[in-house]
Amino acid sequence: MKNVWRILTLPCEEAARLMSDERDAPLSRLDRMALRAHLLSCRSCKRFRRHLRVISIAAKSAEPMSEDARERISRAVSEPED
Amino acid sequence: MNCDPARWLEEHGDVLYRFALSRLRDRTLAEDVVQDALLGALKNAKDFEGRADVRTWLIGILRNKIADQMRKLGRTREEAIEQEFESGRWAAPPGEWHDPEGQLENEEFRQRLAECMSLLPESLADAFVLREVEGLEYEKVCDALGLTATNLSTRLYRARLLLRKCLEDNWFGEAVK
Repeated sequence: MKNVWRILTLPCEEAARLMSDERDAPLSRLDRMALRAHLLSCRSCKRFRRHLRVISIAAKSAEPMSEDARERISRAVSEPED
Repeated sequence: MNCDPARWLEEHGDVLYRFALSRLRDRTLAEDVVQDALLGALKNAKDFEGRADVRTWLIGILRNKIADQMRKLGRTREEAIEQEFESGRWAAPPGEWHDPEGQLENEEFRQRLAECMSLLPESLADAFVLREVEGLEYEKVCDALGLTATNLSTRLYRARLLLRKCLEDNWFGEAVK
């Protein structure tokens, strides 16, 4: 009964937390069901989920170290001054 | 242990650099601090004995070097306390982002995201960068930052809320609409 209640009444704040958690590890069955039910009727949270996905993909495109810097650091660490 | 800074640089250089860049927002400073960290690691290689993961160890050293640098620059970032929810409901519901997936190829958008990351409080930025930028496994991020799984989950959650808000305010609110 408590489980059904959670599935039916999950607040946005908890749904948001679950949508963050699901990016790192699979949710429990109950949480998954509660979130799915919540998303059926909540446009704001549906947007939030999409936004998190975009942020996650965009974050992975950060720039690598330049070749110049790599060479310079490589020299510095292979011949430390002291 | 095999003490080979050239190999550390080869295998972990990009991770360390991006981590430093996300905090210092300056390429030269980020490169310098990576170099300092590798030299520091070389000097203290004996401390590594018994640790399982080189990357985690190097990140720990790098974080100290970054903290020194931030102090020198007089930069610290306070934790912004913003209320996203009122009694469980969105205080300001997420807005409609026009074609968010279409922004992924946009260099300016990625730049804006980097700026938003640089505004995160340090404890949240560290968690977000290691997990989302570097894609480190969850447990490795916990190890690197000395956090429990629940603590890390909370930090990632707050980081994501703040980043989303920052992008909505500074990109989707003005540039795209």
